[in-house]
Amino acid sequence: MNKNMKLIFSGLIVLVGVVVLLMAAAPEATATELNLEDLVTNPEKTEGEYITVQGYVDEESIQWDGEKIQLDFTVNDKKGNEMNVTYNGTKPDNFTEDVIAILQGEMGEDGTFKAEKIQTKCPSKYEGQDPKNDPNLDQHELDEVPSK
Amino acid sequence: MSFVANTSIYLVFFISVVTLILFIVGNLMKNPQVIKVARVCVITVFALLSIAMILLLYFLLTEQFKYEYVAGYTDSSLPTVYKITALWAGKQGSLLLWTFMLSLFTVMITFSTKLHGKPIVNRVIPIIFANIVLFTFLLAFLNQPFAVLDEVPVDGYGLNPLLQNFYMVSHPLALLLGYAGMIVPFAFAMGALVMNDTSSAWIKQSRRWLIITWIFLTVGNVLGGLWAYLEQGWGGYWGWDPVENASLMPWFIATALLHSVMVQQRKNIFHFWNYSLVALAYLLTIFGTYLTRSGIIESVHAFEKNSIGTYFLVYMLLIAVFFFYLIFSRNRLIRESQSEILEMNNFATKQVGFLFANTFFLIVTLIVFIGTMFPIFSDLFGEKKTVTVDYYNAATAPILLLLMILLAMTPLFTWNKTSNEKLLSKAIPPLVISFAAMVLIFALGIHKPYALIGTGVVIFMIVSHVLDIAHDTKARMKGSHENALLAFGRIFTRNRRKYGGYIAHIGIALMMLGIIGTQNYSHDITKTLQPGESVDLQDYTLTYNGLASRTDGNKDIIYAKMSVFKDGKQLKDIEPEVVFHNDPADNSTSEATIVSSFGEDLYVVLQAWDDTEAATFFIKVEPMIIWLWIGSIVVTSGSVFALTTKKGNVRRAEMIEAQIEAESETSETDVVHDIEAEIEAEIEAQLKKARREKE
Repeated sequence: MNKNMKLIFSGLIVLVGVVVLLMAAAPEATATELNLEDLVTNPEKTEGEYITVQGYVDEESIQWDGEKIQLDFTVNDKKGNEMNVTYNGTKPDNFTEDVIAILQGEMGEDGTFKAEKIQTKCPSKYEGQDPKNDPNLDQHELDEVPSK
Repeated sequence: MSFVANTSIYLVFFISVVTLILFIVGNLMKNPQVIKVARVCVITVFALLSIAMILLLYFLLTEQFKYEYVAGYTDSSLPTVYKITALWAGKQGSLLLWTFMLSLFTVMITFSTKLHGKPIVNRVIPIIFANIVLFTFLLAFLNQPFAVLDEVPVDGYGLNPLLQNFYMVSHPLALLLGYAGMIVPFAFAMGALVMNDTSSAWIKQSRRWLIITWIFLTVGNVLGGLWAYLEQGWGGYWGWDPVENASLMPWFIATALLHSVMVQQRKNIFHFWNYSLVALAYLLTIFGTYLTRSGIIESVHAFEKNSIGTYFLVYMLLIAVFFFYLIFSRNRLIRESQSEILEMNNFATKQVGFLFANTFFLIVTLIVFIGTMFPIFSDLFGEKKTVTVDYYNAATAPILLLLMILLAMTPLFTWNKTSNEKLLSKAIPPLVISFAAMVLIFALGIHKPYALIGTGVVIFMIVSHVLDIAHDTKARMKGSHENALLAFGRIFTRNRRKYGGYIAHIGIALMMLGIIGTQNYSHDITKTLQPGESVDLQDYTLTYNGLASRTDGNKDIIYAKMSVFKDGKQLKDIEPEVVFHNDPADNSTSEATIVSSFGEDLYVVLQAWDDTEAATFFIKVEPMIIWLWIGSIVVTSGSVFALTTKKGNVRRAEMIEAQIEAESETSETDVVHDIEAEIEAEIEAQLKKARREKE
């Protein structure tokens, strides 16, 4: 088995190399995960980068243009940071106040985030709502994205 | 009542610890008295967990909202069936159910007549109990299913409407059973190692568990995909989300294991592979739970996060240490009980194929693992990055294609060296047919390499399997003098493992067609239409005829009236709808309308509208997707068929195997394989004759 094991291990090392190359080669294979605050305070730093960011949807801000298939809205982090988002697509299910939206896309020069993909993280998607839920609980969730 | 419920949970933790200690002490001191007491504890734990399960169910059904769990997952308007299924809708309930299943397994194993009196039982049970101790600890102190609220709410919070359907009820249950079952083969393998038993007995003892577990994992994954497709409105079935990956990884490894143990039983090799695979499969089920519960990875599946992640991590480490200790301390024994290592110069054999299969399954699991954990790995280097769907698709596709090629070639090889001429004569018919098929679909406009090669491989796979079945039928006819139809039927019923496997393979081939079609040739469009306007997509023309509404019980439904034309021919009108559930959370869901056919699905979602009745639609054409679902049914049927092997048949199969083995000793080639079915029929006749003489 020893010889085979060596074979396997060297194979695995090659594989890891291939994976790394693959990520480097395809620009959209990886997305940098940022928190809203970092993105909003230093939008120029992330120019041209593919970004994942999440924030709470402000329901009042949602504007839908059916002709252009364009969705504009703002997200915030409940800490005073706000960001405009534009998306060429329709509203996902459950796109309401305080739903967490996971956005993937690029930061535009005008400070508007150009989302290519929006997913909503419904707070009660599979797990039910916690009756003890205090409004601060969700706060921790957003804080989990570490700042640089 | 709440006192009884909570006490049963605390007690069950306490007795589980006692059980574990008693077994360890009893085994070390070789004291049958202690073991006897430990066995009583096994039943006690099961009884207590049953009480807890019944109570939770009772509280759910009787709407006792003073319990946090009941209030959190149900409300009084919820249909009874979802009150029952709420049992596994939340983390406490599903953990309790999981623990209950583990306990049920220990009882089944303790009282199994097949294992009666075997010392292995006393090693298997404590290994499962290590897991039970962890879970009952969590249930008692961190994830209490019977926690009581300070203020009793008037009504519960209800269950998200997205989860109120058959798929979302069965999908997590199937996965849970698959996750729970994985410990049994692991416990048998490690239990045997503890006893210095490095034979293949553990495989025989736990293979059925493994197949059943694998079926549940398969069904669970497919149902999840089906749910996403039918309910989520983006027309996909797999999103490479961390939580999905968490259930895909154990499936990959379990699939490898399922095949790899066969090699060990047949050729007495691959011992290290199988110990490693079974440990990895089990660890991945725990890892999957860790991923979804610890919150270390962001996922759209917003599982509630809590601190139990650390306990899972520590437990996984302990299990890994236990595994490595056993493997290294029994290294020599394992080596000695293993037959000659693979002869790599003897390339054209089944076992070499399986070696590749194992390796590829390991690689594809690693690719998914790296992708899933990438935010954590990259964070170590300063910048947190996530990988996107592009990474997974690009990295897994070639490996999965290689696996498909191996699968397609399965019937070509035998356990002994196959001569080149033989191989060629077997390979040429499927090769010719699949090549012809590739030329044909190329002419029809399929030019993408993956689609072209993939379809070719699928055709090869189906043809090679069908030819092998035809060949065996002929061989059986020779040995038994039965007519073709009877012989054809009998080769299936007589060797259910092999042909159940073949059916499953063909099912996988069909599923591949669905994956190839949707990955390469699905088209979609999002368009806003005024009433009376039309939109074209592929061969379809859809005309929007305005909105309408209706009510269904508590729900308000807005739907669009649409007429559909395919190639100018009118199909049935469709009514894609949005349902307003009028529940406390004000949920609304878009219900996709799907026009299914064997060639493709037309998938239409009503997404938005305004006062002028201008409505926006998401329209998608998904070629071949139905084959994904049909294939998965075939896979499941094949595996269930393989399970129905009767005891007598196992003995007969062993006789046949011995005969084949004896013949292959003398012939050295693959001739034996060609007459396997013939030998089988002959032995069957012998057995029948013997039986008749006895009577």
